[in-house]
Amino acid sequence: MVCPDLEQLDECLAGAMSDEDRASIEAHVETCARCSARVQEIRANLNVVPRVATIVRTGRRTGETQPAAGPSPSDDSRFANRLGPSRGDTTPDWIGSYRIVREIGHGGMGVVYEAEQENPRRGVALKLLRFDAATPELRRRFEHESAMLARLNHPSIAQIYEASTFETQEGPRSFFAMELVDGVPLTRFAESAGLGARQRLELMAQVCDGVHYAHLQGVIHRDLKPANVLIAPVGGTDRRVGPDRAPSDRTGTFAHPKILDFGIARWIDADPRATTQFTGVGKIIGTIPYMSPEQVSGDSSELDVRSDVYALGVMTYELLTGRLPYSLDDRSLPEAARVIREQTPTPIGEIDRTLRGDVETIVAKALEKEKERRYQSAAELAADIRRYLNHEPIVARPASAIYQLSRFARRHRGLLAGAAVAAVVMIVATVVSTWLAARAIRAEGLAADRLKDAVAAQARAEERAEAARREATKFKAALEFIDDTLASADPYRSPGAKEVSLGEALARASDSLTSGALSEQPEVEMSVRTMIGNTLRSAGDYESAEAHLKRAVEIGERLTPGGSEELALALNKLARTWESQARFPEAEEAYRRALEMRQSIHGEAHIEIAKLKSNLGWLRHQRGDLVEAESLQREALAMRRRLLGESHTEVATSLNNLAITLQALGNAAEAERLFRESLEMDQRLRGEDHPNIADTMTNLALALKDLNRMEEGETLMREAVKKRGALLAPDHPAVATGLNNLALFVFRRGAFDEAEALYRESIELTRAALGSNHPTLAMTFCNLAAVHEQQGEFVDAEALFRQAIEIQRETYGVSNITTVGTGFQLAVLLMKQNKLEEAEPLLAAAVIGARGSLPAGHWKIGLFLRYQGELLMRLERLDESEAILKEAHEIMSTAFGAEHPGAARAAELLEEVRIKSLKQEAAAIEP
Amino acid sequence: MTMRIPFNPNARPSAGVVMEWTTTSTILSQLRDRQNDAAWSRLVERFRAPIIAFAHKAGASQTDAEDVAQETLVEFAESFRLGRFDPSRGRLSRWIFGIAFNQILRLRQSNARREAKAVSGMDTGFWHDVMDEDRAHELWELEWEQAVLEQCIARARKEFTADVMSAFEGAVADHRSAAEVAADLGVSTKTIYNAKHRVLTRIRAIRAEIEEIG
Repeated sequence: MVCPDLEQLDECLAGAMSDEDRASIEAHVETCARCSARVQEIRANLNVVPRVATIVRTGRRTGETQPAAGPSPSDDSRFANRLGPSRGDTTPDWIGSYRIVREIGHGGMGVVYEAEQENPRRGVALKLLRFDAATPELRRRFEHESAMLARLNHPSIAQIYEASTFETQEGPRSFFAMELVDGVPLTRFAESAGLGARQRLELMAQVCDGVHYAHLQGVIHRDLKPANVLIAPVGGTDRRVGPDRAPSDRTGTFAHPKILDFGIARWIDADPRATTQFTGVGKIIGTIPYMSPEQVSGDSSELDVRSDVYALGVMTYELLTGRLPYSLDDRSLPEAARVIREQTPTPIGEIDRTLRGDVETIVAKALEKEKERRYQSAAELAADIRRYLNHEPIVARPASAIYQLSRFARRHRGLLAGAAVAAVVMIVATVVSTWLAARAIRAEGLAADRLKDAVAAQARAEERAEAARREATKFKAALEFIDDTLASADPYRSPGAKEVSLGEALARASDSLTSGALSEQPEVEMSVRTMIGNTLRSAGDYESAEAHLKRAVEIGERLTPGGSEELALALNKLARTWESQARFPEAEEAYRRALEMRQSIHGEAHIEIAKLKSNLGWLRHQRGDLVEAESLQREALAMRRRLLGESHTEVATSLNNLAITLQALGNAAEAERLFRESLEMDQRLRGEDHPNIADTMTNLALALKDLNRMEEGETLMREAVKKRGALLAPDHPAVATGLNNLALFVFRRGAFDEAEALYRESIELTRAALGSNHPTLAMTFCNLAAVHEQQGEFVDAEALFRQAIEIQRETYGVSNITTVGTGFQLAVLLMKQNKLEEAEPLLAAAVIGARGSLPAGHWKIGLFLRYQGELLMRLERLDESEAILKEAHEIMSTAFGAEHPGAARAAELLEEVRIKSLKQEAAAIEP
Repeated sequence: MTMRIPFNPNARPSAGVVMEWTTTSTILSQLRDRQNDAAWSRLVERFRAPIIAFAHKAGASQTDAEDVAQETLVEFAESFRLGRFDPSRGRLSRWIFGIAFNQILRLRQSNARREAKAVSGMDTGFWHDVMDEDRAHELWELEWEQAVLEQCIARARKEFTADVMSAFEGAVADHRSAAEVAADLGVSTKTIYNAKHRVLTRIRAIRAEIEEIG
């Protein structure tokens, strides 16, 4: 064959020739080096064509290249009177570079057009928003967020191509250009196609996939409803949305859901005119029925991925039963909100008997009032739907008796003061356990009824019924246990009984467990011990907590050797207990086990995994590995943001935790920024009266101290101490820590007596709360030592430093950065007293510890080296001293600049040591 | 790859006058001479636009974005003079991105408190978002490619005749077949294909001269 020319090769690569011709050319190219090289060249050229073409066309429109036909977006006059029918105008011809074909619809948010994009040439849906990006900042936000939305690329999500703003005579208008979907709304499709429950669930699982994908990209929909999910034909070619077009094919041709408007709700809602949810007579229209309890409460900061999960639950409910969970017709908005927040929807099994059992449980879990109890992600919901479809056991469980009891208690809080609780527990426990048992039996009967012909299915149903019965027994036993424990305090059953405190109740429960009250029911015992252990830990009784939690872990290991969520929970609580006792190696091992277990159960991204990473990060921080600590905290923060959204109490916690580590790494300015962000978020979400607020305030004040903003810091610290005093018991360890922190500021402004008094009070409280061998105590010893040192009371100071080091060596380890830091402080004190030989090993250890814990070049390494260099100089070990001081000088100069006092002092010492060396040399030469 | 979101045309810096063509390697070697103002101007002309566009998209105001570009280019030139750029460690664009991204982080840090106050009470999630580096890099690559290709096309216009450029543009930009373009221009389809590939090949070569440091 003769070598093909450029035209033929181009067409061949573009696929613009017959298969036969293409095969012939490809065969030739394989054997012809020259043509093979040309193909490479052409292919490389074609790769840049799309971008080049866009630039050429843009250049033409903006007049940078040559005049061209077509619209010019910068020419405002072209857009005069083009604001669509919503403002009483005619349909525009062009918006931006889109030619308007027709109006598809209009509503509160603006107008939707079918339009044609020039390049690439395709039909698009163009949503012209009422929202006006009136300020440059708002416009920038809009474009920035839209850039994120344009990244969503999933077969179940209608692609957003572009979001922009264009100028009109009336000001800027914003629009979205998105994939034009040929389809019909989910519910209408299901009805007209006559889908069965299984097919409907299959569709919902696909919708969940798309929603979960977007959540992983950090985008929440906020307005999921059947109208926003169109079912599109697979491989359809007609790009027009036909309102009258109904699916005619029941075989699955229309099988693919497309979710519209992902992430744009906040922009649509940006205009208050768009949020009208009422007709003239106050009847609710629009999207209220799909809103979660947190959404109808109107607090947008509470919205996260689980709000979308709720909407998916409502859609599933509607798709399966043909009606909404709540009847909101003719209700006012506040009334509708109250119904959504408080009423329990009719179980779908009561509407359609065939939906009883797993499907009912799945939908109920998605519709839980408290988002913590819902599926934590759309993927979890999809997974359970698919488990049901595959005849596998689902993960969701009916609401537990204990949970229902707690909800009952919350509704009747006034009744449950004091010992009367036991009587109520008794009654409710009986009711709930009876209900659960009945439910198990009902499930069994139903299973037999529905699946009598299928032996395998019968076995599965029996298994589920058995599982339900086991659950019922477990809850009944747990409640009986609690009831028995509290019975002695119930004046109705034990005349003369007094009210019991929580501590007494827990002690009684512990005694019962020790005497084997639940030894026959290990699952129940594990749950109860985990709960009691955690409560004891929170109350500061670590020894008792440890005993319960260790036993819970032992039981869990026996019951589920391969691991389980219950075991991971017990391990996490045990780790936290050990951590509180400063038993760091044991705590770390337990955290890592729990983390691995949860990763194998939930995959990489899960809220509980983020929590564990954060816990582990703080532990690594305490153990001195600040670099790994930072990395873990960043991972936890990113995961929480992805799963929970930007504004959430757990995100606030992560910001605080990361800031603590950044501050320890020397980045006080960044730490300040994060502390403030965390504080602001917590204040907004939790209100002022929460201990976390006081904690973050304390941390922020300490960052301000590092930034030498003492007055501001002290004011904030005093506020934090006051808050803690009001919120916590006087003997809580955090109260003692607050006093210690406040004293730091008092000391810095020279009020030594006041500082000493605060430290001594803190020491007494810490000792009482945490014992005599706790690192918090060591920290306060060091601080008090500094007060004595400052006043020349070296003996007292030295004794305190030595006590602190002893505790830190035992709890943190010998080479931990905190331990060696105290060693450094002691060494400096010893140098002041000219006890050079005693100081030397302490300084050497400080340098080694700092090099092992801090990033290379950290100023603290430079500081330790400077003192080590000075010490060696004073010991006349000049060569060693010079090398060390050189390094100290380099580190300090790089970190703070050569003019910094630390760097200048290193330079001064270096000079001194050089002069000494010269003198020594001179003395050696002289006879 | 997702669609690029065009930024506000009002914020786009003007294209400026295309100067005499010089490879980036040459510009950088001339920059070693601190007095060489022409080299500095060329550097600014070549790389200022994508930095401004990137900073703008990352949330900076127009003024701040211009400051980011200025600081980035100063730091870039200085570190090149000090021999800190090692081509084996990555592309030129990646290097400039690293500097620009740090500048943006510094800017955000210094503006953080002011911004938090300014937007309090609004649902403004992304203001609190420290931009993820991967996402920022993706944005940067789009801006970089846009700016570099614009320069390549501008340069190609100077090197090819108007006829060749018309044929090229007709072939790549208007979604018309080569036969239609050929008929319009009164030339053969072969001429159209030749023009298309000659210009594209040259654009790629110019791109290499901009992006590679020999």
